[in-house]
Amino acid sequence: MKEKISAYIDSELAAEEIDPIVESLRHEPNARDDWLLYHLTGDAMRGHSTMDDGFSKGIIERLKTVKIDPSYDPLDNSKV
Amino acid sequence: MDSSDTDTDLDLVRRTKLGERHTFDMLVVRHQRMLAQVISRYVKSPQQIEDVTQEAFIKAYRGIMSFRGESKFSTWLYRIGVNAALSFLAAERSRIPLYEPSINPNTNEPIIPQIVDNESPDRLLATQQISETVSNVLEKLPEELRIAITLREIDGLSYEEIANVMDCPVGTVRSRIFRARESISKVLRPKLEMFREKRW
Repeated sequence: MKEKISAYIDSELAAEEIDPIVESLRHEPNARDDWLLYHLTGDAMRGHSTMDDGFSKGIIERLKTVKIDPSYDPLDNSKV
Repeated sequence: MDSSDTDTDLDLVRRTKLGERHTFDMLVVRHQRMLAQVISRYVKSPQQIEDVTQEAFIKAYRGIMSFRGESKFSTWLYRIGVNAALSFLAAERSRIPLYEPSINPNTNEPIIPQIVDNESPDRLLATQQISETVSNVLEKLPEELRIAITLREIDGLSYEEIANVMDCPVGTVRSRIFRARESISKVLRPKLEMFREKRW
């Protein structure tokens, strides 16, 4: 499972293998930690500043109150 | 890459559009450091960087239907981040009175304020600890694992390209990259727990 998460991060997982990985990332905290740590490793190697994972939790919490708007384009500056 | 493999960002966006909201959370974890890095070139205080990064993700989620895959998702997000930073700066400029520098009475020259580093001490410490941990573990890894993960993370090569460089099967590349990540994660995991406890 962990090796598949690693391959999915790199867009190297066969299409038919993806659904169970996404499900495990949805339900298993350990799988989510692997997702975070493997990304953190790559970002640290590239010299990116480390963000608190409480920060991403804050964003995720706020996203729960946001709805997808099919008419909204974030790159259309005439509609803010 | 095998022809049946799927771009992970596009797959997660597709799932988000279908209503699987948690898959956008995975995109947040995946891209937050890149996005914050971009925004930190325009906005200087750590709190403002976090606010603008959050705002950019909110805009991206709200407008996800407008992403049609004509560019990479990371490029689209990058543009949203830059726009959010520029909007933030414009709003700040309209709110803050024009800067008038103080004059040094001895030299009669304007006093230039020092540029404030955009990293808080806690974040600097965490960044330093994590990058030191990653480099220390990397140094000790067997050469074939170190080369495989470097070609992937730094040079951005696909598994097939790495297999050509390292003259080994693609499956071996996949395994080497995973083993490298897992070796680093084992050492990083307790640090992650420590940062969570500190709630910095």
